[in-house]
Amino acid sequence: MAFRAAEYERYTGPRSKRPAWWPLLTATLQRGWSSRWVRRITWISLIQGFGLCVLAYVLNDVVPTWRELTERVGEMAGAEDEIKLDGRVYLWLLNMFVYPVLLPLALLFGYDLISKDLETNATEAYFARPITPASYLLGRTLAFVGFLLAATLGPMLMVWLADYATSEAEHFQEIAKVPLGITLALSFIAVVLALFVQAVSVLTKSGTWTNLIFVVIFLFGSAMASILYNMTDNLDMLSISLLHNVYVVCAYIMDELPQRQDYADPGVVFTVMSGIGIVSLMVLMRGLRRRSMLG
Amino acid sequence: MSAPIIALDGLLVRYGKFTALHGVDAIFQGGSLGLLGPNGAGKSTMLRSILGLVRPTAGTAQVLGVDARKSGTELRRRIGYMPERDAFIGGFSAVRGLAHLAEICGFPKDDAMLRAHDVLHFVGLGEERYREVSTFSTGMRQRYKLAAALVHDPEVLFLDEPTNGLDPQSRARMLGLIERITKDHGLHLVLASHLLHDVERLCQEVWVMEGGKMRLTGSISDLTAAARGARRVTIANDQGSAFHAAAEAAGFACAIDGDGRSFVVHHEDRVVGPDEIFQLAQSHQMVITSIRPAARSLEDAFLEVLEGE
Amino acid sequence: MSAPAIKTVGLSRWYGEVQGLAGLDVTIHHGVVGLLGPNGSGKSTLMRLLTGQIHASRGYVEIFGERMTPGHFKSFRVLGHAPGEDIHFENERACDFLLLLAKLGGESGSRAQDRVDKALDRIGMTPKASVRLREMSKGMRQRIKVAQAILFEPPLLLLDEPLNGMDPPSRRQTLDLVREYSSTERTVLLASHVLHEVDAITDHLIMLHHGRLLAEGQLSDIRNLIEQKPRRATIRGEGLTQIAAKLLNEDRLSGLTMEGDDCLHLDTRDLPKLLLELQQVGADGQIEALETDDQKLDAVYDMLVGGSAR
Repeated sequence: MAFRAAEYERYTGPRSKRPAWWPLLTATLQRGWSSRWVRRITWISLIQGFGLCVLAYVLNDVVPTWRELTERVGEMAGAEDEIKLDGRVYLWLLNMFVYPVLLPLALLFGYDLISKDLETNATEAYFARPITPASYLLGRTLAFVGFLLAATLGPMLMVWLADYATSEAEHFQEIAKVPLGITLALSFIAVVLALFVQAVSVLTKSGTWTNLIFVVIFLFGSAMASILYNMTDNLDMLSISLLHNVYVVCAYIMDELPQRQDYADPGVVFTVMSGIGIVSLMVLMRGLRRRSMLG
Repeated sequence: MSAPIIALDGLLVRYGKFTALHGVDAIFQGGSLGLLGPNGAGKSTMLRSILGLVRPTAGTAQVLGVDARKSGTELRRRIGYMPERDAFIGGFSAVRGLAHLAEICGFPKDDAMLRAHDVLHFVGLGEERYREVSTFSTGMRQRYKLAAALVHDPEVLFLDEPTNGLDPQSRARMLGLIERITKDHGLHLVLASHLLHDVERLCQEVWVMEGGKMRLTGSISDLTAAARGARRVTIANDQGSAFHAAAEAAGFACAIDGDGRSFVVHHEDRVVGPDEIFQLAQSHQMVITSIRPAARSLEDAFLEVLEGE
Repeated sequence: MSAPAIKTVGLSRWYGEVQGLAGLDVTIHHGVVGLLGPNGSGKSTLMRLLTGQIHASRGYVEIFGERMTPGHFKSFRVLGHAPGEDIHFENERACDFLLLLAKLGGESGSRAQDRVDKALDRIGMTPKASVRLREMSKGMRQRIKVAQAILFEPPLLLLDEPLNGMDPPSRRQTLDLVREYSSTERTVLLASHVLHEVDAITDHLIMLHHGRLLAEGQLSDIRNLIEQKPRRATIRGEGLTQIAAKLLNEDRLSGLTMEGDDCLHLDTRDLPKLLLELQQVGADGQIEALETDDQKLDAVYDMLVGGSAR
């Protein structure tokens, strides 16, 4: 036991004027990573990507002409589109790395971080300090986007690197545009999604409701989209479905949008997604500014 | 002469049609200030203005010499705020959360953690610091909030109901901690509390607000000055009524205080001497168990101000 | 003689291994009784047992002679309770909430409304009757809790930390209400942490600590029972060194401490005799102020519960 009472001391160390969103970013990354399921989903995604890399290498060793062989098999089997192992493969990979990951990760974040902060009244602790609502939002959104990209973009880039390393000049041309395209596309989607989930949570002030609403919009939206399309014969109705929009955005930016016309006009899709993003941003800034006034 | 800690000049704050602050003027040079007022008086709006979180409709709020609205972010490095409600970072242990808040204020990572530990030690939180704040009892939460207000080594402390929900020992401990910080280290204090006893103990001056206006500013000692030489007297056993009769017969005015065994004795024309009271008691075979100058309590002064409207 | 308002006999309650209350025996007649004790001392357990919200593990409690157990609803009109927990009827307006409770208590129609109006008037919230609970500050909610407790003017009122969060005018009003209530042969049991407020309205106390009864009775009687510590009288004045010298020879004094030039603490095991001595000293004009240690509840509380680092 101490023989003297605990003393209060003034601080004489360094203080920096570094922007406050940076420590917020690192702290949110830490908190996110401490969630078991976030870790699991991310690792599973990356391991799958790694697995595909290994497969590409092995095939390259064993059957160097595996790409041409696959394409010929496709022709012979009478597939509708020609099976070409070019950039379109990556669109197909969305099924593996993006669709299954987006919803669960968004839900986990919605619950773990946002609703926890609402429960613990964390904004009152933050805004009494030198951090602005914009800074707070930036730090949190970047962390959220970081996690989304790690589990989606990460494995896809890994696969592309393997693809590139095992390809010849001609094949390389076909896939050259992919990394930039997929990075831009997924970043755009991740930002919109991150803002959207946060905005819903600010409005509903509850983690459970946020998740519920998000699941409804995600799954229900997909179902409603095709129903409405069938009813109205208007392709643009499909842009209600978030999954559909993810596909179109990626395809369009990678310049691989198929010729057939069963997708909504890219212009509409981009407008819808940007619209969601901008409205979410506005809702967030207003909501956070109100909270920054300390109850 | 250094700048006053807080200088409000015609501070007017309107939210839509509702006026929260009606052009308030006040100056707090430094030391310890009690901020009093009924609920809805405008204290939270005043606090928000001082922290630079709300734009004044008119007038200015200058804190530590700078405009609060323009330099709000910088100011909040130098001000420590202890909110009334619980506010903490979930998912982190108490100490990690506190270090994080210090980092937000510009502390390098390691210094932030060291500082968090030091401050938690000061407020008396031991092993529990490795748990989440959500598992803390009320007493621990209040201490954690005080630590959070201190972690970035501010110059001014804003405490909102720091002893809320604390049992008598914890209250005494909390007041002791606050006293040490303000008296030994010269931190300036603004204390918003309904417990005027706490305010009397910790502060030298008060601002009394009501309906968005400043009703009164002044030093506590002026406000509670002894009421015209009266004495508060307690009589042993059941001799209360006898004493009352005797005092009145001797020409004093004797008012019953509280439960009937204490009296406030005063004389119209002069100061009442304690020896007179003792002599009076002796001559009637009564025993005085306590006697002291009848100072007006801060609570009386406060209520008088409010009723005077 | 009519049955006491509250009588507990060997009242105990434990939660698994944790002991909430252990063998409590108290009897309360009319007046205001302060219920004191640190957090975790059993105050809320006692309140819940008194209102019949939980079963006793052992022993029993009688309210006006009737055993109180969960399911025993007769006592709605006999017992008013202002709990420590929050009201959760957020969307209700104050008047509607109180009206609901009045009806639940068995009153109907205009008589229920009368009771509500009267209760609102007594707590001074008539102009705020139509405000919804979620828009109320903590202090206002506390007053609504008191209002619902006094709806039926019950002869027994249990108030659990009612002043928490109230601003000074409301505190004073509530304490006046309590004082006025108890002056008509009714009973108020007031649990509070704010000692000087309990001090101001009553001398009759029940102190709990670690689930047990620590002390019960009048403040001065309790003080007398604390034998380990000698009684202390403090005098202020000038020229106290002479008085100190004179009193030093008294064998009744067990201790004498000077604090500065103008303050003298005298410790003794025979306070009444010492006070008699001091009357003459006072009559001679040497005492400016005098105080004994049974006037202050927080000093006694400290002695009993102890250990707070002042």
